[in-house]
Amino acid sequence: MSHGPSNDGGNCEPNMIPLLDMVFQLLMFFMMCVNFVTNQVSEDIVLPESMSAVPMDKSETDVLFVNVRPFIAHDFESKGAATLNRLAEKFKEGDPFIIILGEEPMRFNEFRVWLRNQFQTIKRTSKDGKVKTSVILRAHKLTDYDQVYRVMHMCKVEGFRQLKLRAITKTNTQT
Amino acid sequence: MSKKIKGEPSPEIVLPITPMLDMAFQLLTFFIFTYNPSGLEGQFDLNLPSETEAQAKELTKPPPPPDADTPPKIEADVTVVVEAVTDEVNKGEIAKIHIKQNSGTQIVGDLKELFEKMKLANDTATEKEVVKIQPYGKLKWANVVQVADTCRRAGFKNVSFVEPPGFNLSVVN
Repeated sequence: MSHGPSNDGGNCEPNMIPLLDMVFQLLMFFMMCVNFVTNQVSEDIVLPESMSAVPMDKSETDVLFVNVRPFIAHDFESKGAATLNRLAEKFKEGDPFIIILGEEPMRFNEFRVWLRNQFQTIKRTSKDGKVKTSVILRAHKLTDYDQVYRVMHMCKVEGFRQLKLRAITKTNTQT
Repeated sequence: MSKKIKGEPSPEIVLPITPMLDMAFQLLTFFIFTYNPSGLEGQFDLNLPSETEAQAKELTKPPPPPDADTPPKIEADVTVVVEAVTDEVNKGEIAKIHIKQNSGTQIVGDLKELFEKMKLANDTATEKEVVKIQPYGKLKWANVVQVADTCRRAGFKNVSFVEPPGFNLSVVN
């Protein structure tokens, strides 16, 4: 039999090529699927589901990400005691706060100042003096509506005109 | 120039497969562990016109021509008021939904019923119909999005959010 064990003491090496092919294909799949967009947004936000949310326009780069959520100590336990204590010192349980990447978590009054500064900076640096930046609001699903409205209102008062609300696209077609 | 000596076997080139395979497996493991097959993030647009811009648009809009043959349509401006549950167990859930139109107010209990009523309202409405959603302040954002979603699926393309009843802008943490 041609596939039987050889008795001549020669080399018996497994065929690595199909294995290697498969490994590389899997590797390619996972590399392509990895979502690098998340470096702009906060993973602490659990978005609500929406059937009518449309896919994001990835070519749009003139955007400002604003994340809002209530402080729930339990959700931050996995971040470590230091982070939890730092947040607990600043916010009470249930207090809404703003997360901007690269900034400390903010109260609403701090956020208003930050937003004003951002608007002034964008206006100063834009060619025609107009602000075309879109504010992308990522509100945690457990945030109270009045807090989300407060953020939207602040954006409007400070001068931003384009607002996009983020949600997880749900493909269920039930009515 | 090297000359091949007749009868001598050609040198065998051995590729070091093992380190490459090790590295490939490590990378594969990393991507498998970090792979997060969460739902796709989508978005919906919302314009925030300044009050002066909004007024200007209203003034420049020509009035619709009167037509005696067409049946009277429901007032374009529909407001959906969403009440929130206040008890500790279901705090922030939808309690009642009011659909306010010129013809009167209807009260619905859930989203399915809202969808049916809004679809009926949309059938008789003008193309540019706008629905305003006025949720109570303590309603959870997930429920607000569901209401907005239901209105959109019923055909209302322009959904806008208005301030919650009794909202006080000066109270900021």
